[in-house]
Amino acid sequence: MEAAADTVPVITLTGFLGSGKSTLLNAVLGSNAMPPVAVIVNELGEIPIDHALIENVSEGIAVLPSGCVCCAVRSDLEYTLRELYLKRVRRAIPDFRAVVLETTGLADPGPVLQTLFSRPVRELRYTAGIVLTTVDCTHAADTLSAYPEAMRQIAVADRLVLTKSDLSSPHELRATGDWIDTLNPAAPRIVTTKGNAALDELFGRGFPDALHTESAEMDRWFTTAEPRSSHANTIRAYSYSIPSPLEWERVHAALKDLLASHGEHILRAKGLLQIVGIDQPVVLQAVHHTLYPPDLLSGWAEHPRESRLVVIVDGIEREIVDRAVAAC
Amino acid sequence: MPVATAESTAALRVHESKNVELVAYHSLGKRPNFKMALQVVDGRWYLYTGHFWHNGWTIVDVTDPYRPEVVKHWEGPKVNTWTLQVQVADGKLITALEKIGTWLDPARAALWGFDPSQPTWEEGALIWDVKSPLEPRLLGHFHTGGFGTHRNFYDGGRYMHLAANMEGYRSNIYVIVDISDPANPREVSRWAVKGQRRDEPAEPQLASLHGPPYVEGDRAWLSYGRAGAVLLDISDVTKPRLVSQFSIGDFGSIMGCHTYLPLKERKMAILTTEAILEDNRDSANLVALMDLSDETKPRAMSILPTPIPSEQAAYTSYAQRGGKFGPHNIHMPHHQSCLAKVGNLLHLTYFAGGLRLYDIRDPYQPREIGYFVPGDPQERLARPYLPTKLVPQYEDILIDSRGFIYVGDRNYGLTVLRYTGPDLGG
Repeated sequence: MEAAADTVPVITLTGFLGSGKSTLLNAVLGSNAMPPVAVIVNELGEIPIDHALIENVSEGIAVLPSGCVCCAVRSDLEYTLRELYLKRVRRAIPDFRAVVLETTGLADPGPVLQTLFSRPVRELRYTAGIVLTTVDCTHAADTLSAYPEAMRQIAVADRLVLTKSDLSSPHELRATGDWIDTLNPAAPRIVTTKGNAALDELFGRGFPDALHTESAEMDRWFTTAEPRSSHANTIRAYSYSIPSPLEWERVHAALKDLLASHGEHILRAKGLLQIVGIDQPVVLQAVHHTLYPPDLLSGWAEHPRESRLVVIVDGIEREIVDRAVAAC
Repeated sequence: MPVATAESTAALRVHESKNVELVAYHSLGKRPNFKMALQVVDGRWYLYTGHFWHNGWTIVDVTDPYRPEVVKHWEGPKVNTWTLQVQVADGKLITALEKIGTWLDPARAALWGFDPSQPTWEEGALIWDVKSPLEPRLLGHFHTGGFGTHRNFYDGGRYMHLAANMEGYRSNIYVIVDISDPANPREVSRWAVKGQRRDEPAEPQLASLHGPPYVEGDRAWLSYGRAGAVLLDISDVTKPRLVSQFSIGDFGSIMGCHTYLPLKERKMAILTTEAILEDNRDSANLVALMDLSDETKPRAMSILPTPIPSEQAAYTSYAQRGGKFGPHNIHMPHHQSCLAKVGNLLHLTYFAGGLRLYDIRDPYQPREIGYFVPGDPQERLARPYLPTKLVPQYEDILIDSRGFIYVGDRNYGLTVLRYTGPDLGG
């Protein structure tokens, strides 16, 4: 294992229909502070970019005056990422430092993450970046009651962007907060109106470089607040802190067993682990049945070193996950 | 400006393939490539290669692997000197210098370019600064006093690890060299097996370190020819100490053990021999998956199955179609982040058998999962006398961390391939 060099993070921007993904994307792309990124959308026409500002469009790829690149998903996500990679190294499009992938409003983020963590995509020097989920405060309660996809989008998020807060009643804001407390209490919440949010807040300080290198940044994943079960749903996030260093072979075997037996119920697992014999923090990610190859961060933050693990599940009891973690 | 432009993949005919796709082909100006190394500088991917029959080194820009471009070729010492081997790490390029045809009879050495009227050659290892990737600057030269060096190891930092023929030795031994002052490389230690020193009686079978002496932590993994696979403790680099030795007996060609690559996390290693004689006249060659869970007692778990031509092939036996048929090289990552790690998929060059891919998830039951065999070369490049019959002879391999596979052959230039089969993980 060694730290990945020269890689491009792919940020997943998800959120239900009408929850403000495109508004946020447009605001972000219009920011002077935004480093050059490539944006993948489902349809180029979907993104409300002022077409007069697009310098050229060729083979479905548009170049914005800022140097950012926009394209639509063609064939499939892996193919699209390969095309972007090759066009970049051929210098047919401007260089980009990160990719922002906007999913459809009805997308289950699981398969998207599985593609981003897969070997062919990692081989092309992409790394899976954070998952940003937009939540429309005016409609969250109704949407979440009716659509399991919307719950999953919130459950797997690294950060939640609360939109239309200025249009929401206090009751709606409280209802949204309750749902999030149930589904994903650990993710930082960023309140926006009309897509205005600081890039640091959305993507992390030093974006895009710091995205996968600062363990302080990773720590934000692991606030250990336990979910409140105020809504009748089966999604839970279980988090663990383990002070003593872990043996890699045991961690690997225990998590593999858990995923093999209960993978269909595991929406996402992420860990920042202290492993015997390895100085740096080891980052682990799993989606459903698959545990992905670990990455190394450059170093630990100041606080005492300890392993942290979050397992987001749908429909299994805490005891099952507890047993797997105890076996690590 | 490119020195030679990319050529059509049509120049390479695909004879058989499974789970492997042809990405690009480039003749490198009709100079078949041999040992390769890679570095990434400012987002551009540079492949450095020695040549099989030709002097000097070439840099190929493979940033876009579908369109490789030769961006530099430069000559090395010419008189009676091979410049076959290269390694790049830490902004340094290590190139081996070796007397042409050391192990060959004089008539055959002459076919490789050895001129007996000039009883000199250059030997050792050259250390170049390649931080400016296209402007190699010679920093220093380590001399062996013997025939020179063959396949060496360098993963950055202070030490390079050589397979070197030092003065007073019959064959190649292990030498650790401190290059912290590259202008004055300094030998730190050496290690040899019985019978290598000229002032001691020869053993019935002369052992020679093929190399690279592959370093993983404080261990050096030596492919020590007829002495088999040797593991050394180099926690004190001034005093290498034997941990274990695995004999392959009379299996394999005269070369004996050609490669010994550890897979540290699996407590395994891969051991290969190299086919040397044409038409399968060697003792059977093999590639073994080794159990090193007790490093003092290496144990073979399995031997890879021998490739059999598919129904696509115009022949029914690789062994009968001429040339060499047997294992040669596997990909060796040298701890470089720009190179692929060896996981559950093992890539192996097999001379007339082309490139073979094995699923080694279960080390007791390795299975072939893919292959790529080109058609017969249409011409002899330079003055090779081998293969006697013009057939593919896949020699060397390197895989970048993007998954692109670079292959060299005796009569082909650079071939770029890509695995398209199932993800085996690891």
